[in-house]
Amino acid sequence: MLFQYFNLSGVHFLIGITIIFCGFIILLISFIAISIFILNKRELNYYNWKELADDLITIAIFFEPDELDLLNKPAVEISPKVQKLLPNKYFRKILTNQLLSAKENMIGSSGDNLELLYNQLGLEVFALKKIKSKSWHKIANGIKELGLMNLKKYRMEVEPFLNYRRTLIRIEAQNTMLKFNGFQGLRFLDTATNPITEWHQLKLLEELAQLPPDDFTGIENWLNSTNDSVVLFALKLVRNYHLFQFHQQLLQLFSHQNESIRLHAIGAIKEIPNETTANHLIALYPKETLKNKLEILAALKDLAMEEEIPFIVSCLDDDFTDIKFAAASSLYYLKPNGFKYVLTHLDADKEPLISIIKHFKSDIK
Amino acid sequence: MIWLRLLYDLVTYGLLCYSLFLLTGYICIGIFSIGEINKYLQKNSFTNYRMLASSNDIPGISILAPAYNEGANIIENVRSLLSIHYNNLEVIIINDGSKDDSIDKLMVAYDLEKLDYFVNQKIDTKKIRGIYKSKNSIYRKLIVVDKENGGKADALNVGINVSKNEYVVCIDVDCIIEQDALLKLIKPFLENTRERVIATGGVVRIANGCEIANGRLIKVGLPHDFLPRVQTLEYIRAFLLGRMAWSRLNALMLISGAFGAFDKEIVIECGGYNHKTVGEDMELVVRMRRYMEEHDLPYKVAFIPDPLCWTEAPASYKILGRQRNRWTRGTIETLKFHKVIFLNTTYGVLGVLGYPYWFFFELLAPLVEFTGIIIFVFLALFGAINWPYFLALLVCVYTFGVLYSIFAILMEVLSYNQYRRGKDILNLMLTAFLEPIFFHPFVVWAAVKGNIDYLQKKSSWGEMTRTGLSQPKKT
Repeated sequence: MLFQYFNLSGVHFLIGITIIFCGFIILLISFIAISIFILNKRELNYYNWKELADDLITIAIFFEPDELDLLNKPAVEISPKVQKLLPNKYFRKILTNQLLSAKENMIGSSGDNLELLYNQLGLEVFALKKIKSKSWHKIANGIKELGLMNLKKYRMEVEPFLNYRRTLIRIEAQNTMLKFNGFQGLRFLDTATNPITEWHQLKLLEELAQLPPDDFTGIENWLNSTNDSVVLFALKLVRNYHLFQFHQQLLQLFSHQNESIRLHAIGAIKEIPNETTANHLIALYPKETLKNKLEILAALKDLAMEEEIPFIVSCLDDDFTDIKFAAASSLYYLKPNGFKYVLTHLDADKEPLISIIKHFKSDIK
Repeated sequence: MIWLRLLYDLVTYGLLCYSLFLLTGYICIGIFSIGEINKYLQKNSFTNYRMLASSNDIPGISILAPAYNEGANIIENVRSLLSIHYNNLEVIIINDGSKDDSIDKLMVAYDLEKLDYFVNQKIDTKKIRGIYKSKNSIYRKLIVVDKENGGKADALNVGINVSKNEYVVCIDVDCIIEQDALLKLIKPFLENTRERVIATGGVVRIANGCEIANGRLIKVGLPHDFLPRVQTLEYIRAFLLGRMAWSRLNALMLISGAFGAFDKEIVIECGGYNHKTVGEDMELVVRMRRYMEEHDLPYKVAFIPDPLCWTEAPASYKILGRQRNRWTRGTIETLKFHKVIFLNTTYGVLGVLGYPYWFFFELLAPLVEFTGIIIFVFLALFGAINWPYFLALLVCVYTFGVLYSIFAILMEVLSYNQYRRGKDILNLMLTAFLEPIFFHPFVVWAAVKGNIDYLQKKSSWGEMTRTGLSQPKKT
């Protein structure tokens, strides 16, 4: 009907479609050719310009201001070639990326010199422009740049993004605050309503690992946060930095409804034990899930004393083989007598205990 | 003769509708993939993987690499796996009853000793003959399992039982893995808070033509031979466009057996790999998805477009035919095992989109195409072909096929641009024009043979002889 309306036959219609397809093929091939041409040209420039940027960065890294510089404003010597190329957007992108990448791996005076160079080149203007852009990845890039270059004076520009709806922007803003303020930069956790992903938590922990340990303030609030991911992150801080003062709060988390929080609380309390910890873990054990029971037995491997042996031995009677293995493992590390209880267990001549005993006798780590 | 006319119209219009649906599907896949790749690339530019490679807080991964008669390259392959950047890692090589000297070579090269290693048999498998670890602490990440032959699925299940970590990465031992591949693969598991990521797949690329030394990829190159080259194009199309689009819709049903990461807890809950199918990779993903849907648990199967794994493609029609035959049988078996999902809204997008797509356009497409050819021959013999119409349709379908491939090449150039030389891209484009004529008919025939073999209850894996990747080929 449609064909008749337009006075077309099926063949004409198909030819028409084929011509359109052919047109698209020609268009795409042209686009590929142009893209390759541009990419190759850029690549050619890239290596030359990257070399220029690297040379400049090397000069900056080894820059030592003399007395005159110290009296005035210290400045890295910038070649006329670089100055001429600076208005070029693509060169500036290469230079900025190289600077940021070098800064990520530098601390101390070399890092300070890179900040000096960044400021001297006036690159912060472009970072601020990015922050005001409408494109989410440009905003995130701008924030990252300010953070890496330690431009604390722009703290107010970054703060509005701390609870931003776009995850990546939010993450970069939070990382930047950490760079600006050290451990104090974690105060965004006080009001964080969005989940802090495990990946972001890893990034934060790695960032923190590069800072000198400081007074931790706020953790007591984060451990009570209604945002479960904040609680999990706080538990990781307690674990990694052995923050003994939070022992009591961790015990309270044993009754948290989130299984993962209880799991991490068990893992963290293992790192800050006192003489009652093992008893608390044993008291928690019957109420726990299989996964958390295994975590408790793993914790007891480090914490248990002679008094806890009867409880661990009773776990050898559990129906789950994983529990039997974890209990045997705890007893194996409870020197000097722990493993004797496995060897003399009533089921020691039955599977799976036979194989478990062999495993530990092989001293497999 | 009315019924004959009716049948003729039914077949003609049926095929037309089918083709239109198929073309629309491809167009949608193309469009979806653009946004997804773009989003991934922009997002990924913020990640400093190097910083996280040495992290102690990163979750543990166990690499599971089954090996069967891989003695020729096993030492290099294991060395390559041990050199991957990841702090919390164990590498488990499962020797699946090889008839060659694989295990002896491994014992000597890595100073292995047999241990009374306890394995909790959470998934039933064939008997383990022995578990070995190295006396040399440099190789402390390595565990070698020697077991009775039971096939790839069984070997992977043994690896799952032996593994200690919460994530398992299943790979083909002869694959070349990028150094930061595991960090990229683990990321989706850790950055989703709304749903649980149960599996992540990465792009598999063709290594024929690449320069490889000591189990590492030195330089990317396009294969010189036609068959591997056409598969390069096919893989770009399938991974960069197809799987990215399906991932965006959260309807991905297949993660390549050559390289994929899984949440071990869910894998065990589902009973591990099914050794009753030759498509164990797809079957596991579908079963895991089904498990999550049936337990009403929010989940995602993620996919990342980075080229992380390089594999050797079959270079002869004989080996390629066996591979495609096996893939077809695997697809039939998987779809049959899980037929309850078909158009079942209880399974969400999997039931109404993912499964039907696989059924209609992956499983049935070669059969429809083959039937079409037979009908065409029949009609041609009786002079019932409208030749101008036929030729116009043929050229139209051909140009669409080429257009789709060229689009895939453009996406490759704009995203990862692995084949940097203009000559390579030109060759790929030429391949796009040749593929529908010289390659596609063979693939259709291999799929039809796969259907026939399935009906004849053939369940062999089919020997996959490889020439090896370590020696650079002479041009």
